[in-house]
Amino acid sequence: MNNSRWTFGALYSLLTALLFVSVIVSVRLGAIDLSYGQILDYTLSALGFSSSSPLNTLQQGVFMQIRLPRVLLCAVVGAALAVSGTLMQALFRNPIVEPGLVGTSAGAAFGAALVFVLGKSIGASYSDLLGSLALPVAAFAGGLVATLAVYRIANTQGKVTVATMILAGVAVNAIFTSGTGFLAYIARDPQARSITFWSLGTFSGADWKAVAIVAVTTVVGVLLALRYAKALNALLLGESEAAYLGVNIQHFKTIILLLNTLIVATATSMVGVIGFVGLVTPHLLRLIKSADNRFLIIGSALLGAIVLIAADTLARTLIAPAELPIGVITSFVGAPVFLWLLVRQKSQSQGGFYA
Amino acid sequence: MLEQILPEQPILEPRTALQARELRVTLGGNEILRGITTRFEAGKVSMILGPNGSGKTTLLNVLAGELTSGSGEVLYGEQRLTTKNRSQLARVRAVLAQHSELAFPLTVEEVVMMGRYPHFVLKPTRHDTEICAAALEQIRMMDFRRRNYLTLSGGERQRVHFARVLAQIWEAPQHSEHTSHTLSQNGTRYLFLDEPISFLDLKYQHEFLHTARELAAQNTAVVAVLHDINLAAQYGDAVLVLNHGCVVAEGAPHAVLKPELLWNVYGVRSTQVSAAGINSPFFVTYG
Repeated sequence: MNNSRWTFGALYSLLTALLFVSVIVSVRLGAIDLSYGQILDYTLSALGFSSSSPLNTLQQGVFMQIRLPRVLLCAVVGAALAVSGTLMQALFRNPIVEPGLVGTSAGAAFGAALVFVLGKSIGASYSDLLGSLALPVAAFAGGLVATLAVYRIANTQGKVTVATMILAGVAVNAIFTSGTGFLAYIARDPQARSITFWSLGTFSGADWKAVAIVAVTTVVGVLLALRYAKALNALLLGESEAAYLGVNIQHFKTIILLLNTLIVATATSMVGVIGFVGLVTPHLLRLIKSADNRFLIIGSALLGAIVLIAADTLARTLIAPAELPIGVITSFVGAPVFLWLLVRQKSQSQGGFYA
Repeated sequence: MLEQILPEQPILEPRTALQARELRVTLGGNEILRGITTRFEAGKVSMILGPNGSGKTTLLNVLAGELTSGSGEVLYGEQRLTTKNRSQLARVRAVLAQHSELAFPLTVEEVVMMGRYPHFVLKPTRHDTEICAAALEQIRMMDFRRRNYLTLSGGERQRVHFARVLAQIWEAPQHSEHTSHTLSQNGTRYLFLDEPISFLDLKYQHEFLHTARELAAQNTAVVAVLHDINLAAQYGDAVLVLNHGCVVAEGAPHAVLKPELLWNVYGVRSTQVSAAGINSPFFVTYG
């Protein structure tokens, strides 16, 4: 809407600053509270500077091996999910789409669960690297199948029917969720517990390897998506209009679908299904400033990271020392927003959501 | 003696900008276009007329290069249209469709800027911004430039898309050594309009068609699907009448449009009347 007095640059700076603050605050809070001084000391020592004060090795371990990777994983996963929401909303030309709704996440979770449960029973002797790649690859395949199915069903003759899309999403979600449930049933106990936990997402297993894998695909995904920002905007006008503006529609849609599945599947294979971040984040950005996809992609990456860090901080502090599944928090906030959007779409059939 | 001194006069033949040869399209088992061969000239506004389902929009889509499933060929200048020269085509050819499904809160300015997308890579240049402003000025919607597109009326939305389309082909393509515009000989531009005035009030209908004529005068081939016979006759240099996917008549409006044709094609009775100040044929229809 561009009704804000903030310039794009100012908003990016503000979001970056907020992201920085939320990382620091989130790192500090938890079962063991750290002080800002400690955070500074540990960070400096991790960067190779010697510290003047003696370091508490237990707390340093908590910070370096548990807290920091977890918060950073939240940031990259949040960015991945929010950017995916932006891409899917442009692809489906509808602002109520997100990876959790159209089955991408559920499909990816099923693919990952398949590797998780069957991988060991097959007894495949893959090396560590191959093993850690099998998970995202299977998740990618599952997510792609699910997204393609919903997209094919909802998109007839260049038009996306909202009702069909949501119903197809429900059905595809059900298929993959029941598949994951079945795997949990046949799995041996400790595995099963982690799979069920997955359906609502968890960051408790965060480590540096997961951070690295998700960070690489997300950064690559965002940079590639930015190259297509113009075409994403043009697609908002409709497929033939975009073609008249020189966009190679089939080629472009395939690339966006693959790109989107890549970033969602990688994130999902590490932390499970987390809904509604991809829905709420682009929506907020449109209300704040603009529906231009270039802005939405950059903005979603930053704001999605902030949103998920905040949600995870709540998840592990609300009922500390126990921990809520993070999906509980995001759905609790996101689902009402989704319903509100749906009601507005119904009541303003002429103007759409944002009139 | 004189003949030898004076250079030979160029033959002032009307320039064919766009040709359709034996276009046949079948959609969903129905033959929509049944072998259409015709030509359109730069500098002229050509109106496509015909009853509902006669293939007008399909023909427009084929000419504009969107629909490629049929047989036959479309030539821009001498160049055959293929899917390979899509991005080149987008710089010389613009299309205003019947309706757009934009459901996101973009500003009017942002929508018009989309017309410049084929011309810049990542960010619009100052030149692109100036062209968008000029296009908005042309349709007199400069005051709307920061408005949310979704809050506009149907007619206002249509005018915004017209500005977008104008911005897309605002200038004749620049000839450079690296990019030869084979689709646009002598800098010809192409504008396709599909029922462009359906949501506009009377004043803007005339303003719109007037702007289309002005653009045609700047070496542009304008091809429009129109429902209003009288406006087509008033603003068209040529009309092409379709029925059941075939060309039933083509030529200048006064030569083609007759009560008999309206009866044969539309099944309506009509009387040709004369109105003060209007030289084109004018009809009162009775149904």
